[in-house]
Amino acid sequence: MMDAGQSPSRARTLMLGAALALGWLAVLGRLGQLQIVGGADFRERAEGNRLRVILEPAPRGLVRDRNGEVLATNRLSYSVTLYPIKLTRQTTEEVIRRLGKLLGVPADEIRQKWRRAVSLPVRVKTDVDDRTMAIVAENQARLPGVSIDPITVRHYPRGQMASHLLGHTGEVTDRELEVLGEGYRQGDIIGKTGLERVFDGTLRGEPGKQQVEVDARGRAIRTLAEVSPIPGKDVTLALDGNLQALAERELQGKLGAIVCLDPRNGEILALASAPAFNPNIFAGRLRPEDWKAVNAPTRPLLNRAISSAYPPGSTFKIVTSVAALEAGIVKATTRFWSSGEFVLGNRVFRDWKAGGFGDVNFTDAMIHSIDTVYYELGLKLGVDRIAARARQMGLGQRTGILLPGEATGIVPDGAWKRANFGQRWSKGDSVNMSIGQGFLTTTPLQLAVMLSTVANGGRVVRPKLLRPAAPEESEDPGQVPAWRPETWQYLRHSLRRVVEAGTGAAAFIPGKTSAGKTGSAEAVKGQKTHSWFVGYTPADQPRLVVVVFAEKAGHGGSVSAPIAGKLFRQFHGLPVDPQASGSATASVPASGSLVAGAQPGAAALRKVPIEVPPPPPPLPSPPPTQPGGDAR
Amino acid sequence: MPARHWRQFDPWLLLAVFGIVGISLACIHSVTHGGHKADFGAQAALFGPAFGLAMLLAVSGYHWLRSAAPFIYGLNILGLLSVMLFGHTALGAQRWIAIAGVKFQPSEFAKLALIVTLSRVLSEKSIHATDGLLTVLGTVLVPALLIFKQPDLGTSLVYGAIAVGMTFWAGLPVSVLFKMASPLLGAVCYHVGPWVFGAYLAGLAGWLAWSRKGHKVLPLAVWLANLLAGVGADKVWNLLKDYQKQRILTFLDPEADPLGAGYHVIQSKIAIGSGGWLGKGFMQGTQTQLHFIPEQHTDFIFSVLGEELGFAGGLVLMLLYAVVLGRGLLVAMQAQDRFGALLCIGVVTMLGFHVVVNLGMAMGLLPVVGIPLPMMSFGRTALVTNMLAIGLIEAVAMRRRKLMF
Repeated sequence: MMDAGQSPSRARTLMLGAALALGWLAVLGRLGQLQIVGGADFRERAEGNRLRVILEPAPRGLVRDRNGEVLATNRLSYSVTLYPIKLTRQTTEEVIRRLGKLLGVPADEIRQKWRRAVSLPVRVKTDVDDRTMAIVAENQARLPGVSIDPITVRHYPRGQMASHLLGHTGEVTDRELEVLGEGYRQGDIIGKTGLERVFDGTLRGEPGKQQVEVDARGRAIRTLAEVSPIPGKDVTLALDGNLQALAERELQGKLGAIVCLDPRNGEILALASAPAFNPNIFAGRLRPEDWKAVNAPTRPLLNRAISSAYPPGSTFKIVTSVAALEAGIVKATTRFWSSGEFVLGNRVFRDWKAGGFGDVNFTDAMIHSIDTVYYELGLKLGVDRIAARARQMGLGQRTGILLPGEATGIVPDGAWKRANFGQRWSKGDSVNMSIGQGFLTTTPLQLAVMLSTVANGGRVVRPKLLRPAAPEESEDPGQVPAWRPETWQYLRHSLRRVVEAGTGAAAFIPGKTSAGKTGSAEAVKGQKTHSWFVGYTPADQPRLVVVVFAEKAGHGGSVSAPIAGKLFRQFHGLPVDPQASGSATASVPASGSLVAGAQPGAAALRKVPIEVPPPPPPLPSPPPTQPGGDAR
Repeated sequence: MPARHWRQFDPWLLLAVFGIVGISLACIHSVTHGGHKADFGAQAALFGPAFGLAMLLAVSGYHWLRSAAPFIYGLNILGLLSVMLFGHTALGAQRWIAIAGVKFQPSEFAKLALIVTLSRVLSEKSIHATDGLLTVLGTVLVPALLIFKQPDLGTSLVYGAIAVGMTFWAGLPVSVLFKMASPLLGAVCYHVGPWVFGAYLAGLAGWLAWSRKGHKVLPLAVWLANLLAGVGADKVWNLLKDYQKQRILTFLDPEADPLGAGYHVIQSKIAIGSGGWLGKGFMQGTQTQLHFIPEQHTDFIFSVLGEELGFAGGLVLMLLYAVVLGRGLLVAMQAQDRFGALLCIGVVTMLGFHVVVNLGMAMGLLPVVGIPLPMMSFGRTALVTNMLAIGLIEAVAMRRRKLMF
């Protein structure tokens, strides 16, 4: 049957043909599915394969102070960058492990960045040192897809100077990306805090874009389109670097803040907070010891000048005085009997000076910071009239400085106490408030604004970071309602006398006029008081308002006033540290015993004059009358 | 050489082959014009001699092959053994040997040797007889195992395909083919679950007992083979090289490792899919010109055509292959004798298997097994082999019984 049986062979030939036709049709169907049905999708994927947009970061704008000194700039540095597009998955995994070991970066961290970057370059470590670069270069053969790329890094040449105001930069986080939206991409360097954050839009510029065609290994074959980066705009601060440096020097070793404002326009001449931090540590990967340092219990990252509110103490007597004078319940010449005590019901409110000052007038009350006089006035005025004046002068609300994280402080009243404590406002509360204690809190910056309204004739200024002011900060909140001429006269005279012959004598500078008020606010019973000094110079045409605040540092007259005096000197171009540097910081002999005399149960208030002794007017010996008293 | 022979020469087959080779050279040029220009020249230059050899074979006839078959087969085994002993290694496999400075792959020629040998065996022995079946099995298994050892999974599969196609045509019952392939099914069932495997073995036992009443040894052997295949599949799996395992796993889910093993298939699919109806234009394909597909001018040559000439180009190529395969089957039916018909069937099966598997692989329908596209892929030994195969069909065509038209 060798070459016979053609018919079964014919059938089998046809069956074989049918099988081949089936395979042929399946393949053709697949071809149609890919090219006709999926054509558009695959075309898009092909485009995604071949096109890459390479971003060239724009150099960030410089920040200068009003004298042209550069406070923030950029410097050339290097980053270790991984290009996953050049590698297979397994090799990437291997390279990540090796890199992690060589650079001391946890492999998980790199892996996470790599996943998020999809196939874009991964900055494994930025701002690397020479040693790291050498290590990477030596191991180049074992690290395919890894290169050392030049980058620019934000640099603050003066280190921690004005760190709270300047803020710092860093890589944008996922959460920030969500908030910022348009115009920001993974891996962008943005301003994280302070000025860097507020003016990020101005400083960052526009990154350059290069659309390139790449081959399968991610190498650029040709550039299809290119847009050059638009460098960020420079920014000039109102800040005076000399005042700022002095302020920071004086705060060294303390917790506190210093604000210097130009009362005429609100320009911020200095804004210091201590302890400070060095923003340069955020340039690369934050080292553990640096992280620990900035997260210390003293909270170096906190901007105490604006973000934290404290009881203003006797500096608030300025506000109480305005309220009393405007209410017509007192004149500069009104006489009081200072006995050292003020009795309200069964409570005794003591003066900072045991025994009091005897027969005094209202001007003396400011000069010597006589508490009992203000107790009496506070009681007569009631909380609402004091609170209204405080608010008119800028307290209890944000000043509108453009920095993030500003605190409002508290100007309490009846409604506030009910809402927060469920209790009625008591007369004792008014008495406490009259000398800046109790529920009242203010930020150092708010006090600077408050004093500016006194210094500039009633205008509430908005603190301004830039010079000229940025549009967002140029508008001032407004004007206090017109005060009587006697009120102005009283304030100008008494505040000047405080420095010349009162509690603020340590701020006195010979040859120049100045004015101010001390404050020593109780923070925690039994501990040192918050030390305040608010002042301005020159006394007749003020061009500088200074607020010095030191947390639990002692008395305003002994701790803060001398610092203010130095700032005044600096402002006037006088030698800051006069030959006898010891005199300004001399000890206060009587203070210890005075503090010890505080009475429990009463709002303990202490005012300590500086050792430059107040030449008290000869006071007649005290017949124990109780002024304004309603003692039983 | 009688003029009758020339009248029966199949011009359509040859025209289709010219068309395919033309498209091939265009595609190879498109891939290599930036880099390995030499490959284009080598392939183009070899076409003339390869075509000459094919025509020589066509003219010389095929009857002499019947007597030469044992000699060809022996030479073939020698060639494969020499690869094992002193072959060149490339891409993890030993496939090449060099004779007088010319490198070639004996496994390519071995396909033709197998077709010729099987044609003789199947035209002389009855496939229904046990000794016929065993002879066929032996003929196929020796070279197939030698090639599997190289290792070259793709070519081994081609051997299997040729054997199945030719024995099927020769009249091997489908049930026997099933029994031979059944151990594979057994392995699959074992991995689905013990109950499925048990039920499958029981059913198989029943069917074997019913269909082969009186026989004992063969059904038992088939059943035992199934049992062993099931239990021993893991061992066989472990025999596969890592890259082979990887390819099979990748076929199951290419996107699991887009930058690794799945990369080829994904990029090839993107290239072909993005071609659309008419393609991006000759030498304009971004996937091709930017080298997103490694080894593109060999196994993945179809992605060049798909991307640059689109569905239209792909369809033309597939129609040309249809012409080649169709003419081959026609010649088989009209062949003067069974030996000639078997030669044609062998060649058609080989080419058809190559075409379907290669295209399926390039488009993600089948695993990547490394089977080139006949007359399209760059590869000189393959080109010569395929042209000789076409020459075989023409040799049979020139001596067929009926006149065309």
